[in-house]
Parts: sequence; structure tokens; C-alpha cells
Amino acid sequence: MLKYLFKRILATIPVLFIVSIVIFSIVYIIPGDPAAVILGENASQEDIQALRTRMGLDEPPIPRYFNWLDNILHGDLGASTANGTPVATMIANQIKPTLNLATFAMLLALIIALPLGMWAAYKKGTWIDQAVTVISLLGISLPSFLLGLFLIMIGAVKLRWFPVSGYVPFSEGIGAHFNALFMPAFALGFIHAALIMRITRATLLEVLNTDYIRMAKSKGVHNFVLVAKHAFKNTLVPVITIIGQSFIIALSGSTVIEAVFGIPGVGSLIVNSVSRRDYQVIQSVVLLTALLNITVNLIVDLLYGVIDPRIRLDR
Amino acid sequence: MNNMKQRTLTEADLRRMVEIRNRLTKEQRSLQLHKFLRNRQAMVGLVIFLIVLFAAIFGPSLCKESPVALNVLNRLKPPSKEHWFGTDTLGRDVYTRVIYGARISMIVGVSVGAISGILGLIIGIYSSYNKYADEILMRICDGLKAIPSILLAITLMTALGADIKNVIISLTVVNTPTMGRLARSAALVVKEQTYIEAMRGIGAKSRRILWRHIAPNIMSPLLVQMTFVFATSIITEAALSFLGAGVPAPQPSWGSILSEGRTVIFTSQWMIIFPGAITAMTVLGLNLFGDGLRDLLDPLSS
Repeated sequence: MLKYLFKRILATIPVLFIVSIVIFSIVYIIPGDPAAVILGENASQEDIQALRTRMGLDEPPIPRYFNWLDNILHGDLGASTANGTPVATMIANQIKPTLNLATFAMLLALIIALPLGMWAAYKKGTWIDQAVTVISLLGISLPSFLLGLFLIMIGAVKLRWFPVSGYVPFSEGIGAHFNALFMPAFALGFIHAALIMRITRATLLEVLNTDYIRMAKSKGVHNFVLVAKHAFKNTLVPVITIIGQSFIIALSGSTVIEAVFGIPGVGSLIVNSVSRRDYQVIQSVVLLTALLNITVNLIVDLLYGVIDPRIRLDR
Repeated sequence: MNNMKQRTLTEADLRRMVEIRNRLTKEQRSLQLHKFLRNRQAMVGLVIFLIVLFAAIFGPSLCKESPVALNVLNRLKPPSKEHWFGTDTLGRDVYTRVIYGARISMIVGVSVGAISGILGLIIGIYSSYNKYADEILMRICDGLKAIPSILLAITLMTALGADIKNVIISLTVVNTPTMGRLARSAALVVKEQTYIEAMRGIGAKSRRILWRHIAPNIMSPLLVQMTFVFATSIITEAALSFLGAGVPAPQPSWGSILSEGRTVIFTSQWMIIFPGAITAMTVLGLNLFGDGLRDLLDPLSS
């Protein structure tokens, strides 16, 4: 296990390196002078020069890169080019709604997907199976922000059950918190429900065809126990993979959903930074998300080894 | 690993596709095609897609109005005989704008699908052949794939500036790594086949083997993946334009029409219902068609 762990961690280092280079280079693909682009057409020459110095654009790129990397490794994400606030503070102030939203979305997705996916596999070929297939196809084809807009039209404008937009912190009431978060979480989670449903159904079908399940069946194990206990464990590996990836996609996808529902999270931070062309903020958020992504993938890979020891031996 | 949104094909899928392709005779292939033509879902998908494509190509010349013609007196009028989908906040005809928006979605989808497919093919073929190219190219692909696609697209768009050309560039950068990885895995499967070994045995040059024998044999999984990339590109373009980081303002994109609709959601829901339904239908059509195409090329998958 230790050797496996070590090998996996070692393999992420080149990926981290590439990610950091890609994100760092983005300033250099801006056509023209980045400082002039950020400040707009009416900026004076002195302002542009000042910003260039502040962004470190006067230094050659390679020492600047290592400087940047060094700062990040020490926890210094730099300061916003627009207003000078440290990026770490900005993210810390706005991370909570995003995390809550993504977590709630994933929970909703799992609550919808796991039972439905298993039910569809168990009742393969019946109308239940077909209904689940249609739902998952819809989930994949409906962009989350569009689903969000449709939900607002139904749940907020017509039925008036939920607020049109906004975020209520947990401290201001649990009910209000979840009420405000329900539609965004549903919009964000639906596509993941669809994907998890597909994968659960497909894997469970495969498992239900194996000898040990047929054996258990012939020994008279109750159908529910058969699926929920014997078969379910072996469907976990692919399902966990997709849950790990879904969580990251939900986190990054909340950028759009936060814009639809007016939630003051990291997504709104990014969108505001886009209109201000505040690269420092965007760079840091993207870098952190990529780091998180790599970490989650690593954890998922390690979990495989725990769930299914055969995988450890394979590699 | 990261682009699950667009449903990548797995190694097992690729292996099956290549082997099935080798086994089928000409007659069996035509039988397969007949089965595909009778696949109702795939045909519905194809028809939806063709209607949108047709509208995108010929629609604008059939529209009486300009998509950017302002008519403030006529603002936010509900659907009527003159304005099928109603009018927007500046009195522009929503129907005309949706048709012109289809053009943008199709241009983006086709270009991103085709360019990332070709780049992916080149990357995959060379990686399967050269060990050093493989290490370097695959590490770059992994690095790019570690950044969630919507964030990478937003970042690139911020740097490059809002413009349809830049949308295509950004989405190509986002999608090429997946294509490259896929093409590489497929090429590795084909490389093991006996006839490739035989070619090498009789002394064929590697360039000939790579481009004349391996490349055509990995086209089928790439084609399936291209339809999925097409569909996700439409979604991502709409999302980018919704956020104001995609196609710039007066140009009609489905995303920007929806974004405007969001501001008047209480009064003028036609601004969301019509463009929204058409976006969803287009993506659904492409997904249905892609699934059918996959079943055609890999009958064992379902």
C-alpha cells in the first residue's frame, strides 16, 4: 500500500508543474500590453507603467515564474490588480456559499441517482428502466444554467415557493438557508444525478450478471438484500470515481449557477474579475481549483486501493 | 479524467470498436448501417440537428428583420404574428436573434469539434509512436485536463477578449487534451493488431503505417467523441456568453439572449422559454445522434 501511495503521489508532480506553467503563462497570451489592456483606453502612460511594475511584467518571465511559485508555496496568492486586496482574503470571504452549494448539489444528486440507478438496473427493460434512461439523457442535455432559469420560472415566479435569487447564510436560519439553496443546488446537481444514474445502472447490471450473484440468488437470498448488500459493494469503484469528479465539476460549475441565482460565492468573484480583467484573482482561483482537483483524484485513486485490493497489485 | 461531462469513451470501448471494425465484412457493414437508419432515437437526433443546421445556414437570409435592429417602442412585446418569439428589452425580434444565434452555436460547435478532432488525432498518433513525444504530450494533456473546463475557458476568454474567434480557440484548447488521450489509446490498441505487425515485418515505413493504416482505423471513436464535443461546445459557448465572456454584446448568441431574459424573468418569460428550449433540443439531438453513432460503431456497448 505504501509503495502504491508513493507512486501515485510522485505521478502528480509533473501534472502540478504543467498546470502552474499554463496558468502562469496566461498573462503572456494577452494580445498587446496586459497592463494597458487592464486599465483600458483612457489610462495614462504612468499608470500603465506603475501597473506593469506591480504585476512584475518588467522582469523576465522565468525568474518571475519561480518567484510566483515560491510565493504560492508560502501561501501568498498575491493581491487583486483592481483593488489591492489579498486574493486569499477575497477567496476566504466567498468560499462558504460555493462549498455549501456544491456539497448540497452533490447530496441531492446522490439521493436522486443511487436509488433510481439501482432500481433501473434491477428492473432492466421495464418502463422504470426506460424512464430513468430518459431522465438521465435529459440531465446530460440540459445545461445547468438553463435548468436554473427554468426552475426560477416555475419555483419562484409561478409557485413562489423559493426566492428568485440570493443567499441566506446558515447562521440566519437553517430553513431559510436550504430554501434559498434548493433550486441552485438542484440545477447544479441534476447533470451529476444523470451521470451517476447512468454509471450506477451500467455497473450494477454488470455485477448482477456475475456468478457469485447467481449463486446467492439460487441459495435464496432475498432480492433486496441481494442488490443492496451483495451487489452494491462491487458497484462502488466506478461510482466513487464519478462522485469525485462530479464534485470538482460542481464546484467549478457553480460559477455559472451563482451568476444565475445571484449567490455571492467564488463563482461571482470570478465573474466580477472577468469584467474587471483582474487576472491575479482568476489565476489564483483556477490554480486552487486545479490543485483541489488533483488532490481529489489522488484520494479517489487511493480509495480504490482500499475498496478493491486487486487494483493495488495491478499497478 | 476530468471531462466526464462530455462522456469520454473508455479503453474497453476503444478495444471493442477497433476489433469489431476489423472483423466486419462489407455486407455486415451495410447491415449495420441499415440498423443505424432504423435506430429511431439516432434518427430523431439527426433530424433535430439538421433542422437547426439548416436554420443556421439559410435562416438569416429568410429573416425579414435584422437581429440588431432596435425598435424601442416595441420593447418586451409577447409572442405575436409579427414576432413569433416576442421582442426583447430593446425591441429586437427574439425569433430573428435565435436564428442568428443558431449560426454562432453551429460555427462554434463545428469548428471546435473538427479542430480538436484533428489536433487530437495528430497528438495521439505521434504519442503512440514516439516515447519522448508521448511523455511530453501526455503530461501537457494531463495538466490541461486538471483545470476544470469551464474555468479554463473563462480564463482563456478573459485573456484573449470576448470574440467568436477566441471562443473557438479557448474551447479547442479545452477539448483537445481529451481527444489526444482518446486517439492515443485507440492508436495503441490498433498498433497491437497483427496486420500492423505484418506491415512492419515487410518493411513499411513508420510514417506510412501511422497515417495510412493506424489513422483511418482510429477515426470511429474520434467521430463519436466529436459529436459529444460538439454538444458540450454549444453548452459552454452559451454559458460563456451568459456570463458575458463569450460572443460580444450586439451579436446574438443563445447565451446572451438568455442572460438578458434573466433580467426580465418576472414579466417576459418568452425570452427564456424559446431560446432555452431550442438550446436544449439542439444539445439533446446531438447527444441522441452521438449515442446512435456509438451503437453503430460499437454494437456491444449497450
